[in-house]
Amino acid sequence: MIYIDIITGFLESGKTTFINELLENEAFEEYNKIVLVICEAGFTQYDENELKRLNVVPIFLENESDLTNNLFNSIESKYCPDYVLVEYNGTWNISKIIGLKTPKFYKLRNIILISNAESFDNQLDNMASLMQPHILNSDVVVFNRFKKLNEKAQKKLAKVIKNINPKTKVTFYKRFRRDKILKERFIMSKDSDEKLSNMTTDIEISALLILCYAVICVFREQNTYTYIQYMATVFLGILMQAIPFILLGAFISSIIQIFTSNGWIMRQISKGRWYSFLIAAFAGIFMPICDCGMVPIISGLLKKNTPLPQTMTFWLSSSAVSPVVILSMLYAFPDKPYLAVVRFIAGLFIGITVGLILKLFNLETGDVVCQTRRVQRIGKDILDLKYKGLMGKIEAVFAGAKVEFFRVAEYVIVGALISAVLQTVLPQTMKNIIGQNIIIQFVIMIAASMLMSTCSTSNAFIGRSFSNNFSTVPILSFIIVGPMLDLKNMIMLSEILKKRFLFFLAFLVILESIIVFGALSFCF
Amino acid sequence: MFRRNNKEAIIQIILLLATACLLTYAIISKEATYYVHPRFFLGIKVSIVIIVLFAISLLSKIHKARHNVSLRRYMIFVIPLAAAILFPASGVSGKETTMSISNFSPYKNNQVNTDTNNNTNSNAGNTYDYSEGTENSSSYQGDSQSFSGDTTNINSYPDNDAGLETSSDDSKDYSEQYLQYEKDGVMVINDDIFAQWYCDLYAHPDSFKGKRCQYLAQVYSMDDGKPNQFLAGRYFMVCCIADLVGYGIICESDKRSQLKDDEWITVTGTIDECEYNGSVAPILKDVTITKAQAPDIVYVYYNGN
Repeated sequence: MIYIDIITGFLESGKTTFINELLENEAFEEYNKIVLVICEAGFTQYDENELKRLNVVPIFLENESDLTNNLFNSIESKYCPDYVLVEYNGTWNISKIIGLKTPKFYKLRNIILISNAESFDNQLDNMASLMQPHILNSDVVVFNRFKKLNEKAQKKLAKVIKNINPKTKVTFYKRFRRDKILKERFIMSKDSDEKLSNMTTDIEISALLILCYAVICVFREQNTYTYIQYMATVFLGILMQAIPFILLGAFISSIIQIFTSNGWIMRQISKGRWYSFLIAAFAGIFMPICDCGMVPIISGLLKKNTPLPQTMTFWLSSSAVSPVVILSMLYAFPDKPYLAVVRFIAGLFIGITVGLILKLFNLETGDVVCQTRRVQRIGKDILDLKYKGLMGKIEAVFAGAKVEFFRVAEYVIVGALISAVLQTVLPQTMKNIIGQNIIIQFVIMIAASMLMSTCSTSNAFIGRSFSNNFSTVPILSFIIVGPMLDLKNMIMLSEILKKRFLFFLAFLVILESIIVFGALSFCF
Repeated sequence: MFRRNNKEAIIQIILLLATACLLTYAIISKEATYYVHPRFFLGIKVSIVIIVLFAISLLSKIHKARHNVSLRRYMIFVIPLAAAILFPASGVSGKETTMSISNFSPYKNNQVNTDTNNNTNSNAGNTYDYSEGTENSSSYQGDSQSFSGDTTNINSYPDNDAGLETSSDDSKDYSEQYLQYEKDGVMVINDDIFAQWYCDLYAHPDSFKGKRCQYLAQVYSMDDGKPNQFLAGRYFMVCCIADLVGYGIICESDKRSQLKDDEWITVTGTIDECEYNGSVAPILKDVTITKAQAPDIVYVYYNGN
C-alpha cells in the first residue's frame, strides 16, 4: 500500500515549512523514495540538496490542467515511489485531485489544510467557494500564526470548521513532533484510527440491531405494537403533510437567497421605522402556506441579514393572517365567525408588539443568529454549477432548494418524532388534570399548543374539539399562540437562531398572550 | 486503476429515491389515506416529482470525489424510512389508532376500551371476517326499538352550543340538499358526504327532525351513557392523522351488549332531538343495525365547507 498525503492551503500559509518539518521527521527516513508533487507555480523554498538527502524527488505542476488521470500512473512507472506527498494549490479545485484515477495500491490517506488563523475568517467570507470544499474534504485543518488570537477566538475557529465538516479535526500548530493529532495521522499507522472509527460505527450498527430486535419483540406484544404503530403513523402523517410545504418553503428560501440582493430586502422591510412592522405583519397574507413551510423562508431571510424585529413580526403574524388560516377558523367555528377576526387581530398584535419590544431591546440579527449562519448561506458561488445565464440561475435555485431541503428535513424529522410521541402520551395525562379554573385551563392550553405541534391551518379544528372541557378564551390561546410556540417549529428555527434567543422569544410571546387573553377573557 | 466517488451524493440519492418510492407506493395503494387528508395528494405528487428531480440532479455529482465524508447526519433520515417499512399503515385500522386521540373527542373513549378492543380483535388482525357477508348477515336485522327520551345526566356532547344557537332562529331547511340521496324514504349517507351531513345535522337539528337516515358507522361506547346507548360515528380527519377525532350520533338499542367497540355497522334510524346535558342534540330512534365490512378508506375527510 502506497500512501498519498495532500497538503493544501493558500500561498504563504506555511505549507512548505510544514512539509519540510514533516519530511525531517525520523519516521520518514524509512522511505526509500518519496515523490513530492508541487502544485505551486514560481519559486519554491525547498533546499534541493536537502531534498536529495531525504530521498525526495520533486515534480512540478504549473497549471490545474496538468492534473490528469495519468498523473499517478506515470509517477508509478517512472519513479516507483513508496510514498507520495502533494503540495496542493489552495486556489485549485480540491475535488479534481481526489477524483483522479490512481493505481489500485495507492491510497489517499490524509488531506491537510494549512491556514493562517489571522486571515482565515476573511478568506472564508470572501472566497467561500474556494475554502469550503477544501475544509469539507480535509482530515485536519492546521492553523498557523494564531499567537495573536485569544483562546475564545481559537475555539470559534474550531467551531466553524466543525460546522462545515464534523469529522474534520483542528489543530493549532507549533511543532510537528509535539502535535499529537498530526502524529497520529502520519506516523502511527492510520489503521488504529480506522479501527476506532470502525468501532464507533460498529456500536451504532449494533444499537440499531438491538432496536430492530426490540421492535420484533414488540410485534409479539400486541398492545405495545399497536401503541407504537399509532405513534409511527402520527409521525409519518405529520411528515407527509409537511413535505410539500417544506419543499415549497425551500424553493422560496433558495430564490430569496439567490435572486435578491441584501439591499433590496433591507429597503423593503426597513422603509419607515415604525410602519415597516405593519408591512411585515401583513406580508403573511401573501404566504398562504402552513407554518412549517415558513421556517425555511424565515431562515432564508435571516441569512440575508434582514432586521430581526421585523422578521420576527413577519414570522409570528404569518400564522394568524394567512388566508387559509382565516378560512379554517370560519369553518371550525361557523357559529362564531367573529373568532376569525379575533385571531387575525390578536395574531397581528402579538407579532407587532414582540417586534417592537425586540426593537426596543436593540437586538440585531447578528446577535442572535448562530455562528454557523455564514457557512450555511446559499449563493451562486458556493453551489457547484454547470450552466451559465438563465439556466444557471434555475440550476442554482434548484440546487439551493435541495441543500435547504436536506437541512430543514433533519429538524422536521426530530420535531415530528417528538410531537408524535407527545401526542400519543399527552392526551391521557391531560384529561386527568382538566380543571374548572380558567387560569389552569389557560396554562394547560399553552402547554398543549407548545407540545402538540399542530399545523396552523388545522389547529382551529383541534381547538374546537376541546370545546367541551375548556372555555373559549383558553381555546383561542391554543389556536393563536400554538404555531408561534410550537416545539417542532422551535426545533426547526434552532437551526438558524440561538437557543437562548428562542427562549426569550417564547417568553415574550407567552407574556404577550397573558396580556391579550387576559383582556379577552373580560370580553367573553 | 480505480476512481473514488462521492459517497455523500450516493447516500443522498438513495435517501431521496427511497422517500419517493415510499410516497409513490402510499399514493398508489391509497395507504396515504391513513396518514393525510386526500387534498394533500396533489402536493405529495408534486413533491415526488421534485424529489426524483433532486436525485437526478445529484447523479452528475457522483464522480465529484470526496474525502473524509461525514455521513452521520444522514442517520436520522433512516428513522422515517424505517418507521414506514416496519409499521405499515395497512395494519392500522380505526380501532387501533384512535384510542388515545379519542380522549379529546366528545364520546370519551378511554384506555380501558383500548385493552378490551385489542384483546378481542388481536387475533383477527385488522380484517373483519364475517363469513356471511355484509347486508345479508342480518343478525340484528329488524330489531328496532322505541326510545323513551330521558337522556339526562350525560355530560358532554359535540357541537352542542352550535346546535343551540343556530337552530332556534333559522328557518332554512338544511336537509334539502340531501334529498337526492333519498331511497325509499331513507336518506342514504355515503362516506363522501358524511362529514358535511354530520356538521349540518348538528348545526341545524330542526331541519332533520323526523328524517330516516342510513349510514356506515363504527360503534363507540359512551362511558356516561345508559347501558343501551352507544355512539354510531366515524373518525374525521381534517389535515393529517394527528388531528383524527371520532364523532358520532347517539343510538339506542337493546342489542348494545352484542356490539363490540369499533365494530363496523350499517345503522338506520329516525332522527329526533333529545336533551343532553342541558342542550339539544340529535339522536337516532327506531334503530336497525346491520353488520358491515370495514370500508377500504376507514376515515372520513372533513373539507370544511
